[in-house]
Amino acid sequence: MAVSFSRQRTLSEAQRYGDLLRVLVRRNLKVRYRGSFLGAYWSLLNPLIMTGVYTMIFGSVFATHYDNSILKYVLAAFTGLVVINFFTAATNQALVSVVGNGALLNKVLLPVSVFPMSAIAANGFQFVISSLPLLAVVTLLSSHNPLFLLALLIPVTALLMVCAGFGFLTSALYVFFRDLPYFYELFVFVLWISSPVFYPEDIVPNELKPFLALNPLFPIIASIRQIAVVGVLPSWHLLVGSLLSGMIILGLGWGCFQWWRSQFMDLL
Amino acid sequence: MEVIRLDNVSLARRTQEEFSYDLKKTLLSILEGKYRKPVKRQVLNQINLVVTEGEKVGIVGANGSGKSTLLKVICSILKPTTGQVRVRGKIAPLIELGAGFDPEISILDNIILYGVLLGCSEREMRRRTPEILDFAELEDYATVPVKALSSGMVARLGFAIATDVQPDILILDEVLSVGDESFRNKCKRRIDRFWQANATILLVSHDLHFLQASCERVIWLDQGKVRMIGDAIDVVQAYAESARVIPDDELELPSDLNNPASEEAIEENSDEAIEIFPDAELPIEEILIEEPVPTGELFIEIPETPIVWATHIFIANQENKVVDTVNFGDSFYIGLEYEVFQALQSLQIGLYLTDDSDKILLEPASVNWLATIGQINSIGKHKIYINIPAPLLKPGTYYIGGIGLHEKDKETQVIRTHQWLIKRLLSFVVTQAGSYIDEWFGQEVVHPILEWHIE
Repeated sequence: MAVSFSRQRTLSEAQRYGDLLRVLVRRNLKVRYRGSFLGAYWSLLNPLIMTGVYTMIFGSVFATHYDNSILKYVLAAFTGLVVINFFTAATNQALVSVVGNGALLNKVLLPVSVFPMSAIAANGFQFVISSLPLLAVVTLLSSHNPLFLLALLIPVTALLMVCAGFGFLTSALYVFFRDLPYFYELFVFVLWISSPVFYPEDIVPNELKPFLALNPLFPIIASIRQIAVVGVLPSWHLLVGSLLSGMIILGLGWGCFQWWRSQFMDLL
Repeated sequence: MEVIRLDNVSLARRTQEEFSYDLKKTLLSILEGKYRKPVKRQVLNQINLVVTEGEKVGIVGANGSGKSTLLKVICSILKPTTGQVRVRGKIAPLIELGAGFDPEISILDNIILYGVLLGCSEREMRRRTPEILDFAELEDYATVPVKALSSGMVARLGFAIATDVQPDILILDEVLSVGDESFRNKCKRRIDRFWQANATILLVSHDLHFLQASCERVIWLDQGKVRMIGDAIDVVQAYAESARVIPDDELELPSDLNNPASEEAIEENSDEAIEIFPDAELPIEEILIEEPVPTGELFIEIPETPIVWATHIFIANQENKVVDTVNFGDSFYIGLEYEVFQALQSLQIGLYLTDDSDKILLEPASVNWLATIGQINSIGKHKIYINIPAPLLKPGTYYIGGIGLHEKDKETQVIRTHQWLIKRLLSFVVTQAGSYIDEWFGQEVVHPILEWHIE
C-alpha cells in the first residue's frame, strides 16, 4: 500500500480558509478579552446603560405608544440598541481589516476576504454568546413558546448578512479612499437615527415612512421586536424584507469586493 | 523538473502617490471634471525565467529594479498584467520576519497564527509548537505575550516558525541576521540544511560574495527588465562592474558639516528620499545642542516609529570609566550606544569630533564589513566605540556628534537612504599636563609627538 505523505501537506482551499478564519477570530477575541474576566459580557454594558438613559429621559413620554408599559419601552429600546451596536462594532472593525493587514498581504499569499470576514465573525460570535441569550430569554417570557426562538433566528441571520455585506464593501472602499471612516461615521449615524431605536415608529410622519423602509436595519429591528417584545410572529413582509435586504447587501458587498480585489495590492 | 516558469511576464502597477487616495478629493475632481485615471508604471517588463527543481537562483539589481516585485509575482501575491506564471510546489516566503505577529497575544497563539498564515494547517502547527519553541529557545516564555519579548527574541521566533514550514520553494529576501552569535550559527545551519536538501531557493541579497558562493545562477534586473541571466560568477561580476549599483556609493556623506550649503542640501533631499533622524520635520539646525550634557544621557525624544535610535554617547578612559575630562597624553574612547528596531540592509555609524568653532577635527566612520556580517545592523542594542590615540588633541574643549546612514527595504520596493546627524551632543575637556606648551606656537589644531632633528 502506497501512501503519499507529501500530498497531505497541501490543504484544500476551503480547509485553509476555515483554518485562517478560526485563528483570526480567536486572535481577535483574545486581544479583546485579555485580562477581563467578564469577557464578552462587557459588550452588554453599553446597550444596558444606554437603555437606562433612554428610559429615564423618554420612558414616560413614549410609554403611551407601548401599551402604557415602561417595561415594553425598555425592551424595545434594548433590542434596537443591541442590533445597532452590533452593526456599528462589526462593520467598523471590518472596514479597517484589509488595510490594517496590508503589510502581511504583501508578504504572504492569503485570501483577502478572510480579514473582513473574521471581523464580522468575531463580533457575531460575541453577539451570539452575549446578546442573543438575553433576547431568547425575553422571547420565552413574552411568548411562552419555544418555537419563537427559531423565528428569532431569521432576523439574526439577516443581520449577519447585512453586516457582512457592509463589511466587504467598506473594507474594499477603504483601500482606495483612506478618508472613508469619516464618511462612514456619518452614514452610521444616519442609519442609527433612522432606525426606530429609542423612539416609537408611529411618531415618524407618514410621508417620511417610505424612507425608513430604505434602512436595511429597519425590518430587522422591527421583526426582532415583534418576536421578543410583543410576543407575536412578525408579519411575513417584515421577515422577507429583512432576509431580502440581507441577501442584496451581502451580494452587493461581496460582488464589489471581488470586482475591486485585483486592484488592492497596488495600494496596500 | 521545472518548478517555476515565467513566460513574458510584465506588470504595471499604480503608483502609490495618487491624489485619488482620498474620497473627498476624488469626488471634487469628478465634479470639476478633472478626474484622471490613475497612472500606472511598468515595474516588470517581459520577464522570462525557468527554474528547475533544486536550483539556487540569486537576484541582483539596483534599488527599485523590481527584485521584490518579481518575488511577489512568483508567490502570486501580485498578478502579472500580461504573461504567465506557473509554479509547482509549496512556496514559503521568508521576508521580514515578525510581520504576522500580534504583540498582544501569547507566543503559543502567535506560533499557530503565524504558521497558519504561512500555509500550514492548524492541527499541524499544534503538533509542531514544542519543536519551534525549542529551536527559538523560548520554552519558558510560551504563555507570555509577544510584546513582552525583546526584538531579538521576536526575530528568533519568526525565523523558527518560518523555517519549520518545510517548503518546496524557499524565498529569501535578504539573508537574515538575527539574535546573538550562537543563534545566528543555528540559523545558518538550518539554512545550510535547506541548501543541501535540494529545495529550490530564490534569493535576493546585496551581499555579492555570498551570492557568488551559494547560487548557481543569478538574474540581474535593471528597471524591470532582465539585463543578464546566467552563471553566478559572471553575472555578479558584470553587475559589480556597472559602477552605479554599489549601494554604499550612493550614500553621500556631507563632507563638511560646517558648511551651511551641505546642510541645506540634506534638507532639500529630505522631501524625497532622505530622512533626517530623529525627526524628519525638524530642520537640522534645531538638532544642534548648544549646552551639551556632560554625560550624554538620553538626548533626544524617542520617535514614534524608530528605525535606529541612539540612546547614549560617551567618553571613557582606559579603565572603561565614563569621564568628561581627559588628561593630555592619555588615550581614550568615544562611543555610542544605539538600538536597531527594524531590519536594515546596511548601517554606517560615524562619530565626529569638533572644536569650539565647530571645525571638524576627526570624523571616523564604521567600516562596511561590520554591516556585511550583520554585527552593526542587526536588530537589538549595540555599543560601538573607537580609540582616540594620545597625544593628539591639544588642551581645550571639544564636542562630539554622531552621524549615521542606513538603508532599509521598504514595502514600496524603493530603498530609501536615511541619514541622521546630530551635532554637539557631548562636550569634554582635554586638560593641560606638564610644560609641553613651549613646543608649540599655538595656531595648530593637533598635538602629536613630533621630533626635531638637526644635522
